[in-house]
Amino acid sequence: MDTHLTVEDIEKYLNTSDLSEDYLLWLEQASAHLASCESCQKTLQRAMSADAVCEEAGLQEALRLAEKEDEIRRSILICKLSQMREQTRMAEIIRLLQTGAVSPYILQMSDLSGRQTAVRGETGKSAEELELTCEDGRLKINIYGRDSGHPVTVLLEQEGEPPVVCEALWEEASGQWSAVLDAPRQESTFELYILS
Amino acid sequence: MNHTLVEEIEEEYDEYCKDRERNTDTMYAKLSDYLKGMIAMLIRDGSYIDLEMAEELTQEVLMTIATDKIHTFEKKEAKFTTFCTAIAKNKALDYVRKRNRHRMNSYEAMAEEGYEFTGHQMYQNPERLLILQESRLGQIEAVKKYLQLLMNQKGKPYRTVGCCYTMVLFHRYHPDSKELSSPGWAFEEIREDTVEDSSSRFAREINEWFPRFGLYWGEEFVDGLDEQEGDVYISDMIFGEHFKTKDLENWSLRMRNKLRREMLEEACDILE
Repeated sequence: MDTHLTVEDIEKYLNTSDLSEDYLLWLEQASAHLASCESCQKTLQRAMSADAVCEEAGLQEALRLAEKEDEIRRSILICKLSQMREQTRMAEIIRLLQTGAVSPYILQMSDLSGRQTAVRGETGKSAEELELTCEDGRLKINIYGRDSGHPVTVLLEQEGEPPVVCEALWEEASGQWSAVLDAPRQESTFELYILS
Repeated sequence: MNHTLVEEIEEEYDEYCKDRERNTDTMYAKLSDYLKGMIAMLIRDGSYIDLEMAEELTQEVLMTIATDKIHTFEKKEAKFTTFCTAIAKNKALDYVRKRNRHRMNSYEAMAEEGYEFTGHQMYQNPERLLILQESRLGQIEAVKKYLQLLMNQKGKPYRTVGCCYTMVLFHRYHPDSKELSSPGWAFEEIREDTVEDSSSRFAREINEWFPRFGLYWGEEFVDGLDEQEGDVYISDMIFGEHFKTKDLENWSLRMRNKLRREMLEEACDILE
């Protein structure tokens, strides 16, 4: 087999009930190709993952799993952070995330062409407001609604990149916390945790 | 593919066919070397290769071949090694299917599988937890893709909407049900609504349920709705024409097969 496995080949490969002579002759070719083709190995892994969702029972379980997406993402973030550990407040940050009390702002770079605000909490004194501006590859985050008494840390998470931890600075004149980070990739969805 | 090893195993097998009382230890030792690599490749979990599990599965495969399957093989054109490859492949795929299923379960269920993820122990092995959670995230991505494909279906909109309620939305309201899909529930939910109202409700509810997914009705569906019976009451269609509740079940079955095919096509397309 000189070419990559096709959808038909993958379906045939995933069939576990055929041991006929024809099937074995085909399998010999397919296995030889698969053993030496990393791209087809990856395709097969993806196909197996997709197949698990397509089964009737699999879909039901997958829907249950999808309900826990926030929890799973937070757990991935904690794993990554616990492998970094060099930051002074890391243990405290991990503890805060483990309690599950902090929810991320889920944002898209494509929405940040100008200035964007994101608000959380009750309107009035308890509201937290973020003001985000992206310029020259840097993302500036102004955080309103938090007092100067407790240090604020900004945690940025985007898929495929290590998390970025940044201590915010108190700006006396404007009465706000502010942090500047390298901007996430264009077109990416990213998450911001504001930890205090 | 190690041709020398294959040839050696084939020779050992031919000798065995001539003398069934012959000692087969060497043949099985070589088969073990031959199959282990393939099993390890198939059960690979992202970048993690579980050699211990590959060894365990290989031993189980050899046991199955020795005690049962070897007597069912009759050598014609296909090689004995390919026959063993098929058995090993099936064993590995069964294992991966079970593993994927376990991963969709709770931490408690996973703890039984050897993952110690309760309370403070949860983050004691971050590397292993990371692999597990990234794999679960992969499954969630697959669900998102599946749902979006469902909402992009071309064809009769009332059928697609019926399938959405039967196969998916039912689980929002009956999380612990043993029923895997429910045409009866779907029929009761949508019979008094128009196709358009039912589709709007589904889009609203699915995005409340999974706010990160950002799901939407595809162009094909929306065009179909404009052209066809978007404003018709489903009860009128069901009773006024030739449909029955049972049809929802048949449509769902066909839809599952179609979506499976499309999911596999997507899996193949990604790397092309």
